[in-house]
Amino acid sequence: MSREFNIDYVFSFIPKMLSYLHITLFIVASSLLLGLIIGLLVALPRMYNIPFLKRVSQVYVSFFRGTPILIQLFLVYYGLPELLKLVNINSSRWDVLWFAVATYALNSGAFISEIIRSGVEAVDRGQIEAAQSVGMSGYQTFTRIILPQALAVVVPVFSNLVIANLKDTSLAFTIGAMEMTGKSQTLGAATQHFVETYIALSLIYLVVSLILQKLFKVLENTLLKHEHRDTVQSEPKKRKSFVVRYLNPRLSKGGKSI
Amino acid sequence: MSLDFGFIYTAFLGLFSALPNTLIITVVSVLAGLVIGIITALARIYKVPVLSQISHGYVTFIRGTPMLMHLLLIYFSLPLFIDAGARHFGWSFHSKDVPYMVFALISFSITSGAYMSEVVRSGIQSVNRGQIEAAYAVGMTTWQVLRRIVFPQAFVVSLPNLTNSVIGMLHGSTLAFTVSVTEIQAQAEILASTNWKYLEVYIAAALIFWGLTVLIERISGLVEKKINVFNGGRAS
Repeated sequence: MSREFNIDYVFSFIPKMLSYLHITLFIVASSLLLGLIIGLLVALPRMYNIPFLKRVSQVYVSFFRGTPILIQLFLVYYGLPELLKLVNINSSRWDVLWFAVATYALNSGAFISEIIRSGVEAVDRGQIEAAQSVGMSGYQTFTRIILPQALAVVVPVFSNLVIANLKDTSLAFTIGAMEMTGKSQTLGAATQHFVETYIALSLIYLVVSLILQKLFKVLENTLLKHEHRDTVQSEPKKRKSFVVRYLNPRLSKGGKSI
Repeated sequence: MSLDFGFIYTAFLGLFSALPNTLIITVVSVLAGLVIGIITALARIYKVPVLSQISHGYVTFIRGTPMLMHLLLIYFSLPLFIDAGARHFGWSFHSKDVPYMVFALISFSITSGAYMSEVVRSGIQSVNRGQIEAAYAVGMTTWQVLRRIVFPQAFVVSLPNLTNSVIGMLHGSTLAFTVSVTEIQAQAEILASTNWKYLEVYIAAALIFWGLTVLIERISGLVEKKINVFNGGRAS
């Protein structure tokens, strides 16, 4: 099936694949950015209970959370050109990368809308009322009261989403996108050293996701500073473990598991 | 847009023949993953010397790499081991006698095990320590404490995570097409390329997965309701 294992190939493959890392990261970053916009647009009708749009956004979220990303990739790859044809746009010469980005954006949009919703809902209603009673406008309440607290709650879940997204990009090769996994396929086929290819690729994914995890941990700690301030003397750890232990399992419904 | 709605229905029926494989992969990997998950989680909670470090490494590696990598690594490396063993010990079977499905099941169980380990760990850690001490105080053995006090409560807390993992494995089963296991995704590719109706087939496949996912969520919702009644509604 494949040739004798030779560790040297692992080391020689790593730099070759690393030169495609930026494409993988580009897919992750651009899909998250677009997903953030989509997520916000989708979360709003549900938070403000807008009759028809609320239903639409529910179906959207349910569909993208209820189907495998692989199927979504193929749906977008074959479906989007048809939709674009309706408005007289010819997408036949577009880079497949854009279809991958579109799929991951639509997918993360569904998860992000859930994250936004759960984050906003996690803020105590009494605080919002208090903010309004001292005369804050809706915008002020949102930016000064809701957002800082919602962000702190949401960061761990968001970090899971980003890492899940990174791992999901490994599927983009199925529609022919040339990112790291796509490159590994050609390397494996050319040298017949498949095991080494996938070991090298796994190591890259592992290191990147560990770095991302660390970065989000730092961000989380910064955002949770205000949670510590009044409890530093008595029980510095308890406050944080409350968030981690009680809110995370509830919010994880908004994140992907695998 | 030229969408052949009739063919979506035809494809829908055609895909059902691959449903058993998808379900086998999901069920086996979730159950095997649960066993692996409980062992690794307990090893980490009780800080068993070598085992806990191995578990930690295993969980970190699996959660930090895509599921596709696990599948491809197993698919390409396990045959090397089997064939080496066959040469060395003179076994009568070789890697080509092993059905592809076995590689998929092994790899997905390993993937699921790492995620289950985290589910089990967070579930067990959510049980109040005082209760465990109380159970010891009335003379229960560790096994009794786990079985009577910890597991029932941990299950309630981790049910949402468990559901997510089951859905994750259901969706992950689509990757098995890369090692030629005919589950729904592979069947969809066959149907699409023989009929030249790609979009219709993938719409049908998406509908099947969507239906299954909603079904799993409903069942989990019902179970949650049942358990919460039993717990006086103070489960989480």
